[in-house]
Amino acid sequence: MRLNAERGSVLALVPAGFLVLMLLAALAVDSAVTYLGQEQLHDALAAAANDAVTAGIDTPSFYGSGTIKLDPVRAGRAVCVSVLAQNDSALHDLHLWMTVNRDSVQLQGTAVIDGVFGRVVPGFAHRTVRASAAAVVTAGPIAEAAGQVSAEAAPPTPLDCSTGSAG
Amino acid sequence: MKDRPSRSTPPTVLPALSRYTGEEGFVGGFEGLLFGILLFVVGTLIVANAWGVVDTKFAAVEAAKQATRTYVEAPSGAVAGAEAQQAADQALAGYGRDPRRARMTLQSGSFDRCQRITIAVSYPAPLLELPFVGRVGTGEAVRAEHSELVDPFRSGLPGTSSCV
Repeated sequence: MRLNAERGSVLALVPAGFLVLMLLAALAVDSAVTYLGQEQLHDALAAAANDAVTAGIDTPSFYGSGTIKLDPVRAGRAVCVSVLAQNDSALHDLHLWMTVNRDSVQLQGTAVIDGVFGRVVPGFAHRTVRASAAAVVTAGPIAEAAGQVSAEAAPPTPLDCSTGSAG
Repeated sequence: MKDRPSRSTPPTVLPALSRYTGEEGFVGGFEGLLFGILLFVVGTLIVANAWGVVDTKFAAVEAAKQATRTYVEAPSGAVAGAEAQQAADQALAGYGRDPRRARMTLQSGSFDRCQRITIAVSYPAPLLELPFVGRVGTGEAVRAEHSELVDPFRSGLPGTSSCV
């Protein structure tokens, strides 16, 4: 009689073991999705920073005297347009912070990622990812002759893409 | 003198009772086994499908990024498309994908100053992706986009910067 009872218990442990395996596999998939989201956020910020240091250059100053000077308003607008153009539907609740120095743009961002299997578990439906990127203007022959490059420290300011301006 | 039963005589066994006792554990275990098989098979299929999609998305995202970056950095508009295609193919091959099954499209933009170039790459995700087995079947296509500006101050293009 005792042997019969033990045989039933072993069989009941099999689905329980499979359940644990499935939970671990689901956790692996959700972690990969989070990592993918972080990569997408970083790619978006890197592209936006690249766009900002070119489209954000003060054009009259550059064509007038060859001096490279970043205009924070133009750079902020370029960042917003670039991030929106990535069309990353996986990134929600995006928040950006931008630092514009004389010749560089630094971006920090956070976004919320939806879990694949985690959405059925309370507390695991969303994950927040962070990323940062920076771009520096590289001077060509004309700008080098004007001797423009200098870095000035500036604190990061939140970027409001509804108006396209920093601060 | 009466004959006494031998000690080696086997005890009497009730066949019917023994059979019923054995079936009690079998019924309970069989339900669990069915549940386990269902859970394992269905769960494995779902997770393997999800993993195949996510893994393909990684490859598509990287291919779109490399293609766009190569396009905007190309020496001329004549070779930009071909170099972007090559970059996307190499990125997909690096992820173990067959570039011939991918589809790269220039969504918007042209090779001019400050033009926004958007390239999309789509690749059919496998139906399942399992360890030691590899990718099985063909599922829905996974799509990724990337967008960048052609440098408004770059050399090799006529005109001046037109960024607003």
